[in-house]
Amino acid sequence: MLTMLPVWDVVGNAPDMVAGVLPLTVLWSYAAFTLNFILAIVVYFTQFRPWAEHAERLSDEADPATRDDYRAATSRVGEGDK
Amino acid sequence: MSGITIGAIVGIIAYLAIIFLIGSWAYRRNIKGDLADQYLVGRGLNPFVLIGTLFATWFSTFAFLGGPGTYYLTGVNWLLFGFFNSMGPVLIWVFGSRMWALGRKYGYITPGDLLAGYYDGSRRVRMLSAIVGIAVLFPYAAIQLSGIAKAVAGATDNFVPYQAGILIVAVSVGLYSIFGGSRAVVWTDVIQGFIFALVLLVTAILVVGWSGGWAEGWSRTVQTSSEKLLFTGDTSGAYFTVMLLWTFGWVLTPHLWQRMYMARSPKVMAVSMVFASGLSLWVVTFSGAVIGFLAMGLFPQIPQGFDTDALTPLLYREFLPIGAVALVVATFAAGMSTLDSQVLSGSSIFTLDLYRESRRSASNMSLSRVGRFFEAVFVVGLVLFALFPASQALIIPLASVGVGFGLVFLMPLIGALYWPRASEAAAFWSMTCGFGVMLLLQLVPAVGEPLPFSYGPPAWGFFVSVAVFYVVSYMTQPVSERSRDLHHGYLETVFPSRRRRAVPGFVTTSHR
Repeated sequence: MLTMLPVWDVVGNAPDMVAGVLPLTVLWSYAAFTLNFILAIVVYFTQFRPWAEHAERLSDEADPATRDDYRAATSRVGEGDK
Repeated sequence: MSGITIGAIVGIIAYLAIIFLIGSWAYRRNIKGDLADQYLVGRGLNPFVLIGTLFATWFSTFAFLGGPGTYYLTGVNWLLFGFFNSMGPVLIWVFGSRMWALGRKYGYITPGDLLAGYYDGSRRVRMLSAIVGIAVLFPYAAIQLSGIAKAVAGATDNFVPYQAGILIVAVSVGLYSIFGGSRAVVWTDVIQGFIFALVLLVTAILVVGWSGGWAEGWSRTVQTSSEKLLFTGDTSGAYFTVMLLWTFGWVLTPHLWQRMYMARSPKVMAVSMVFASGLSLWVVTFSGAVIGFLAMGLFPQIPQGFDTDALTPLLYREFLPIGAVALVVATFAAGMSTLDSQVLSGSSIFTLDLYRESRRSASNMSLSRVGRFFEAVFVVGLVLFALFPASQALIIPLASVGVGFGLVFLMPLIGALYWPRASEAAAFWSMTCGFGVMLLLQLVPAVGEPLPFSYGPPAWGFFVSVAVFYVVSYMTQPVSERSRDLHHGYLETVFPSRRRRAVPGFVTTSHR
């Protein structure tokens, strides 16, 4: 939503340089993008990494999956039970 | 022959020598007759290689030729290119982790494996996903091939003509993909990704210098092109379409989808998500933006005889002619890293989704040989399309919507990973209708112009696929209890906090 505010001309849609760093539109957009990137890092620490540690045991299982597992999963209904 | 042309040719030869060395190493390490090894590097990628191959596969020559040129042409209206590319890797968590878990459990290799697997082994879902997959891959790959050849012809003053460029790239990619398999493809991706990311970063730094410094360069851009630093506000529909393509393309295009299966462990997936997102935002898109915007101050008007895709070559030509050598090598690297993955992915789809369906008893060794044959066929097909102008007339409109075709996988994938109410008929008809609408709007201009709210054909096809998926799912029976248990039941054990929605007749059995 923050990203779209200048696109919708609500705020941040001006070409003026801000403190000699970047024009406002570019600065606003990349600040919003960076916030999203930070959000991705938060997701990593709160969701993804704990899951990855929990699921690490899966990578120790037989690999690749057994041919029987594959057939059971991809056979048409009824075929796999024969 | 100029010194730059000689340098470019030497650079190409050195680059190809490195790539062939990697291909030869991969060939010796490959496990013959192991399909997961041939197409997925045995599901054993470490974070370094997975990040490299994700990054290099997703970004093509467009990243440093078309990308900066589009910033130059359209200004801030193209900034969301950065946003969506950096958000895409977040989908590795939302979808990729589940795709990885199911792929590892059931040995899935293609997108069709997972979709057909969940939808009760549906042959029509598998066939359709294969057709859509090829429609995503083939035109895009053909455009890559011709793009590299054109760029190299331009950079070498036609010493390496277009046709020769096509053949050099096709033969190179064909050889190391066919003999080196996925191991060669992902390791060359790492090298190729490193080369083009480095060239992009260095180019951005050089452009800052050529502009007189950071503050001076941006001030000149503000003075000469302030109108390009304002959002015009009438492109929201186009933004939405681009958002869909660039965000979901990270997991829905077949060659990226298959990278979700390749990780060695969940931790590798987790780390790759963060780094791929950061690299996309700061290395590719921000560098591209700096080049494109600062070039506005350097060239208020693009010189006659050049188009904006040639902005980066033009900058080198003007300020550092010898840099064209690095640019040619980076063009090869960026294009080939995408092309090789597409060739491999196309081959796996032909072999496992189409050929194996007609030869269910085929051994893995036989499928492996057939896969290599299809890789050769795929490459020959690309060469023919790239060489004949008549075929380009068909391929260009298809390529422009190509990545968008992958959006029709989204709803069936959500069903397979999250939504037990989804039915086989819904998956099939949502893909059929969505794909049909995209093709119709793209190929029949009379139907497609003008599209309401400036949404493009991929967005309209996607809307149709969403509507059809939900309506048909509620009108028909969900997939069998057995399939739900094999997939959602298994994911329940992998993602323990996940709560399954109640579906009549749904019974969980334990998975170990």
